[in-house]
Amino acid sequence: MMNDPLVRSAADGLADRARKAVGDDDAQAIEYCFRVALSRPPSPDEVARFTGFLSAREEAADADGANRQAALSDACHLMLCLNEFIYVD
Amino acid sequence: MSTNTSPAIGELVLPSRRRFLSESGLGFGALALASLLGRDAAANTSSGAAVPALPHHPPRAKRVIWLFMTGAPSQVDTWDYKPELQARSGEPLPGADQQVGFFQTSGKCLASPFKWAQHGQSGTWVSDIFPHLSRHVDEMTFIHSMHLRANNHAPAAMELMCGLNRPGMPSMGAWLDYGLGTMNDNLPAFVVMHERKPRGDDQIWSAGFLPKSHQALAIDARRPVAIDNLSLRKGHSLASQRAELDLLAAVNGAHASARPTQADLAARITSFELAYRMQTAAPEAIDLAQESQATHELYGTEDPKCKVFAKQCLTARRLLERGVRFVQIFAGKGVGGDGSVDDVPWDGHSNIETNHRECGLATDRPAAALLADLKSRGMLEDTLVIWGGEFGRTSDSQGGAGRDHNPGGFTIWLAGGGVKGGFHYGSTDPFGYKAVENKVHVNDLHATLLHLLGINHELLTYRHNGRNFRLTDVGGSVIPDILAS
Repeated sequence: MMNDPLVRSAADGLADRARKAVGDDDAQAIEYCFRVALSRPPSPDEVARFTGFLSAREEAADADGANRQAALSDACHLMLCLNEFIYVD
Repeated sequence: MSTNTSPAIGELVLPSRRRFLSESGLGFGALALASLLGRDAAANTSSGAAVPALPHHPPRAKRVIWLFMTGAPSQVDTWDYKPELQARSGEPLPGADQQVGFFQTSGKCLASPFKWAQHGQSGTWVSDIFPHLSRHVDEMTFIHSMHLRANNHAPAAMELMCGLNRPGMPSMGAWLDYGLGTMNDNLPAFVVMHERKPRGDDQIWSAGFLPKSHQALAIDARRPVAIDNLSLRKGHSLASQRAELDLLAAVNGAHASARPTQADLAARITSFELAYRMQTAAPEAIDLAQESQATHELYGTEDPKCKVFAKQCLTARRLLERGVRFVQIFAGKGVGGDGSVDDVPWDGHSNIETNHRECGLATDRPAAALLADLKSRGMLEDTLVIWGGEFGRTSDSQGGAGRDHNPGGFTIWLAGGGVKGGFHYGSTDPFGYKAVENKVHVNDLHATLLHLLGINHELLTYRHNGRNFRLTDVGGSVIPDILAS
């Protein structure tokens, strides 16, 4: 799940979709991806964790558009690795 | 109902049956959870002790390798010499039973076509299928009286691995991982190697109803890359991945705490963490280029007749050396192609001579090399080596030159880790057809293996479907006679 190309391409696709749908705002992008992947909005705690993750990634890299998108892909990748996504309750 | 759960906004909240049971009434669900979490917490410590009292007694073996002779070798053509059968080829087999085999047998004795000789101080009779392994008979305990219930490959392999001949049960390696844990946090405790997938497929190395973190890592010899997706994604480092796993753990933790009875959620988190650590440890562990030319020659990794099994045995030794608890190698197809099916190479229905000769060539040299290598490294004394397949074969012929399945009597041998050397236990009748003296069922074998590993088989249990399950189901007795003093 962490390194598999199929999961990665799904994450890239989800990230692209989110940027096209909601634009540049990280919190909105995270909320959009949560709704698509998990059929629910994120809790405030989850928004904070994921946007914090995005900021850290973006700071570490150059803050150009490509890296911002890679960071969002990483975040989407993690959503697809969540137990909530993998297992049916 | 307690009110401290905080469902996400917009989520329709109905208590699931599980949540209701775990939070309501007398709270028995909560009690069960506490015990479950306590056990899991213990199982995940680096000391590897899953149940506080383990080991129940000092172990004689720390690790196990099972050389699984897929397809079922014939006892009377390998390790169970029967002069009576040799003398009466073509005559009616006393007690011949059409219910034993899977197809139809002739009812007439088929003498072994192989040449037999005595080897070692113990004078053990071995057929000439094994010119290399026959040099190690004084290290081996032979159990000639093995028997089990199932007479076809998949259910018999399940019975031999899991104690019961039906799907859904945990296999021996999973039980060992559950009971003893790993000796190396960076590698899985239970590794399986195969070429074609043997009959019974993943069921024979399944974690069954145990938490899925005890599942085997299966390495397929046919694939160019031994373990998939072991290298980091482009542009990522272990540090950046650590940050990802931390986020994952935090969000998964909140999810799991609202679903307290589902052990698989914790198992999935554990698996991510193990995979993260394996990224650095596993490539080194399975890199055969680090072995000397002499070692490669000993195993025969360049010999076209046996190179697949040779590489598997050498990889297994490296894994055992690094703390893997249980390795199982399912022998792959032979070299010549005598008409037997690839996923059951020892299945000599049509011609026992050509079939078993080829299977010997594919496995004998590497298996002997493994014994010699473990011994020279001082590992044989606490490593238990097991050789055997899912059942034996009929003493009467199938179609004149072949042999059918026979779960009524067969031989396996053990070496190293606390068993006697050059020792023979139990016997079949004078024709090698059925186990008659000191019969050993799979449950007895498992009880003995667990004993050697420091485990009382009656105390290693897991609660499932309302009762405690064991590897040995409701049977099994330790065989004291085969234990080294």
